[in-house]
Amino acid sequence: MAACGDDPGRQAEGPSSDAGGASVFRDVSAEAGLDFMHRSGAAGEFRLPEIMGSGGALVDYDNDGDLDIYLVQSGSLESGATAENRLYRNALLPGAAGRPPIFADVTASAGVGHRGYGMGVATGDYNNDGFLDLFVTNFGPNALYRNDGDGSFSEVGSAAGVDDDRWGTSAAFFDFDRDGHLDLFVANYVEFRVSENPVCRPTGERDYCHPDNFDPQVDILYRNRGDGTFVDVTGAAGIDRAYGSGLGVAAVDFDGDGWLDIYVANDGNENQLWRNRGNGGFEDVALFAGVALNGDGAAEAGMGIAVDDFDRDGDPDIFVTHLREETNTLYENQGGGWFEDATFPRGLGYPSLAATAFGVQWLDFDNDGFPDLFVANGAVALGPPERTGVSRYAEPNQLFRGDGSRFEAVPMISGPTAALVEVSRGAAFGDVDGDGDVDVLVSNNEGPTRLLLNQVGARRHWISIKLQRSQGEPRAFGARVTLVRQGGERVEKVVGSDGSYASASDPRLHFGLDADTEVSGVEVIWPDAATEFFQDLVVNRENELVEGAGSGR
Amino acid sequence: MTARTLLAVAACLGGLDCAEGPPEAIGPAVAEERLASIEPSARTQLASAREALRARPQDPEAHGRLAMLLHAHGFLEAAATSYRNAQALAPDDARWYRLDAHRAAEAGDETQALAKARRAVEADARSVAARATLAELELRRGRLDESRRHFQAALGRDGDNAPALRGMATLALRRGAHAEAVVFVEKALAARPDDPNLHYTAALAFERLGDSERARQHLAASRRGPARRPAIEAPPEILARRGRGSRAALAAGTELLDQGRYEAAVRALREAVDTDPGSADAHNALGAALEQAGHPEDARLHYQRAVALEPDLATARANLGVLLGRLGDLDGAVLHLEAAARLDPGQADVHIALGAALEARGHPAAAAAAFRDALARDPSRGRAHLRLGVLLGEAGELEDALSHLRKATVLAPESGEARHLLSVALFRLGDPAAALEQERLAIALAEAAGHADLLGTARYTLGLLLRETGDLAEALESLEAARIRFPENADLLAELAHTRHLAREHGAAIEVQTRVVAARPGDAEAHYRLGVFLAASGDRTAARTAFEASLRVEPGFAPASEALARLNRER
Repeated sequence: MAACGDDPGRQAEGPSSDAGGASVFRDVSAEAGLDFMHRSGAAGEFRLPEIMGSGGALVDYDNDGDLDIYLVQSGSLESGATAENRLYRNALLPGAAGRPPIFADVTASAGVGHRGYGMGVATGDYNNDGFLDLFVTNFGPNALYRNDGDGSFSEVGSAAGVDDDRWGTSAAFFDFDRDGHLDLFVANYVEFRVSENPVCRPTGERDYCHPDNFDPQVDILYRNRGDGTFVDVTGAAGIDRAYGSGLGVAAVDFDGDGWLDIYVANDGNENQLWRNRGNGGFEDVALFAGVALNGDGAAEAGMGIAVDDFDRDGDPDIFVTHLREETNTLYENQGGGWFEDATFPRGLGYPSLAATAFGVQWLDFDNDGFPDLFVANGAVALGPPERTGVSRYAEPNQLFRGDGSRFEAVPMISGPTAALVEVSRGAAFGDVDGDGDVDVLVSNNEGPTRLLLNQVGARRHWISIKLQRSQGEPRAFGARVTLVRQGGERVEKVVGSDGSYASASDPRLHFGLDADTEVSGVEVIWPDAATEFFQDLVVNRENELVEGAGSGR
Repeated sequence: MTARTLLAVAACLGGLDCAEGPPEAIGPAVAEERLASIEPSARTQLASAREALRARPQDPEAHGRLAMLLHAHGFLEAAATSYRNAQALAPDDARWYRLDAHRAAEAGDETQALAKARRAVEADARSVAARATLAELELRRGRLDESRRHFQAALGRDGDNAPALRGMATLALRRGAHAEAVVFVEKALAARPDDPNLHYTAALAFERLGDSERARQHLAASRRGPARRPAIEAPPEILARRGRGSRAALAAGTELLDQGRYEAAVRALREAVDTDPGSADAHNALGAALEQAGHPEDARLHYQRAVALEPDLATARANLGVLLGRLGDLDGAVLHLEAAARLDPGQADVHIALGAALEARGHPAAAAAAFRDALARDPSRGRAHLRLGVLLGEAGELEDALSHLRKATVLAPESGEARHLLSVALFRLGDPAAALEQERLAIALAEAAGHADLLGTARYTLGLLLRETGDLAEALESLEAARIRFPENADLLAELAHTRHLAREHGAAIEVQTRVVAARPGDAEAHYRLGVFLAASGDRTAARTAFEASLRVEPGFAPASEALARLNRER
């Protein structure tokens, strides 16, 4: 086991120092050189793709240890007038942790300026060369950017067989057949044609049509052949037996049988929980598992997904973001394949009634050891006309602090940017400035991307885990990592970059430790189901766990 | 100081909220922009409530009624003020605290909602509604013991209270007592058999008890309710006030329409129209309900009203166009369907309806273009392939016609009509064997579906095909079967007579052709054919008479004059 990472530059202060009313996040987009402005092409025609926004990725594409940023651009639905996606390289220098990073736009040299009408991005090392690749979903043909390892990428979507032209939204790389190669799941939204844009006036005023006006599209499951190409196994795997207007996807082993399952959040239709049968086939068990509908049996407008064991009972729980006047929904895993809608008892019901939420993730923003939630909000229907100066779709984002049982909304930005109310869509998560707490990248529809640096987490102790496999997919997507804290408490997380909405997060795992200055160890269940235990980890550092270097395998 | 200001001062002295309310009105203010967003009837109700309050500023009922209306129409902050005023004037009335608790919950303020609900129970510990509200809020808060205590208290006073029974079922589910959950939820369903929430709770309880069949039944029942439900359900008093609006009536009526309950839909949608006569959506939906309920003329009037109110409402244009086509006004149908297709070009149904109207109007090229438009939107529309195939066939574009007709049979393999039309095209392309196969399939499908007209037509066509292949016996059998359905059809009779003639059944041929002549006395061909059959039977005199009759109808009709000349030569 090797301890690595930069010195945080200061001593962790322990639990006596918390947020204490200070700003949790600081928007450093401008000073960091992040000048991306999302354009939807909206021009009064109210075409559905224009309101769906896009996402971004926090991805260490050059393996230099810091997180770079890939941002998906939409542009224009008129042919030939699209803008390009952008890649920003993090120029964070060793020893500069905690200071705002400086980003350089390397789109041109990297060759990743895709010009489709972009929606989302997924990251994963599909060819096992050690470098994270980018899969871009579009309203139109999707694209796969193979990372060539020299700072540049090659677009191989067509050659790899993943350039389907349906309206892709969120996607996830995961190894469903445990062959050591990352497969790919793509959530598709609805069948929309620019030339056939209906006129909708849901409240009397012209506005975007509800997705119910369009036919949902089947999602896609690609199996990685291991030779740089994929084969569409949607039908063979049974994935085409149920589908809705897909917007969110997360791959997690929900039933603990060692095979990665897939959860799909659909906009206005029942969600799917595809249980991996381990033989190449999947079955949708969402309805009676209690995760297809909310606790009242109503289908909600599923957008983004966050999965984590928030209550530390050893199984993954699901949080799905929804439309205004619906609640976001927390499905608490009861074991035995059953979930319970625990939204209200956990304090997450009432605060979500007034907003439409998209990007989301569990993160321990204050490193107190309990998962918190960041929710990116922005309406899809016109708000009251009396608001001036901001978009009628703008809504404030939300941060919920958890104590392992209940959540409470906390103000997250203070000072001059307190009024930052935008039409947020995608959100990606990771420690961008390397100071030991989780930062947030927020994509705004028809607006600037925001990089929110966490100002408070590093006051407590933390540990970061990066896995390194000896063979197969190097980062061990799908591996289950259980941190054993002082006192024996076990905290489990899963390696992956999926979830949220149309976005990809850092696959490295971040654990808040509160006042703990050491940990008892880490148990890793590798994707091939082998278990290994690692000890002698160093807190306030990133620890790289190399397969075979631990004990018990 | 004006009298109105004096009233406001009196209200302040009475402990009311003095910070709210415009100087020219009693009760809390609501921004004009927001007022403009609600229905006219609701604005009228609010104005009436304010007038009542102006008349009786110390009346808690007047404040409460205004609060409920404000609450019902989403003015939650203003409603809070009025509820507070009602509570100040009637501190022992549990209603205003309870409803205020619901309002606070809708506003997302859990703490205030719980406080208000507790105050409601304090004000009237016997109130079942107050207990149930508090219990529900405690349940949401996760305080299960507190919740159970209040649900039990509610059921102690009203054992059939559905919200309390559902609450007890939910509590039982939470602690894994699935059988107990079933008992509570089934009792609740006895009181509210159509409640989708109850059915979903029952589905989960039965599934966890291992009774998947009953779980599925309840799941299906839960889906019969509205797909989208509010996360915070309003109490009946508030729902009733929302229900007076045209939008609520429109939603209810549309749902009834979707469920196929047309008369009930008509009632609800009439209410929607009465409440808001300027709503094009309401007129359009009422038109649809009336049409489904069998009142096409009334439906037409409401569709026309919808179009007059909102000329760009594509669904109303489409509905009106389709109905006019059914009523025989093809020009009107084409006019409105063209408008609908222009307004919402993505609807394949509209293009198909337009194609049908144009075809009936006698514009085959335009009709074919409309069907092509439909297929560009949705290539899986068998009806569009079918009609386009027919039109192309009639235009002589047989290969294209065949292609579309084949697609129609693939997309609608159970359609006898598609098989029949494919058969006709195949026959015209010179492939009688393939045509025969399709026609036999058409007959089987028509028989299975009980389509008597199609069955008759297909048997008629089959008869001709069989005759073409030389199987006269079966051809006659098929044509006679078709004759049963169409006994007076002269074309059919003429073909039947011709087939009898080919089978050398001269007497029968003459008998049938005589009917043809009777039906078409001005048809030279009919007289001529009768002459041919008479000549074949050896009755040359009668044959001569028939040929002469043919020539009287159409002097110079060559086949008759030639036949007559032959008779004269053979004399």
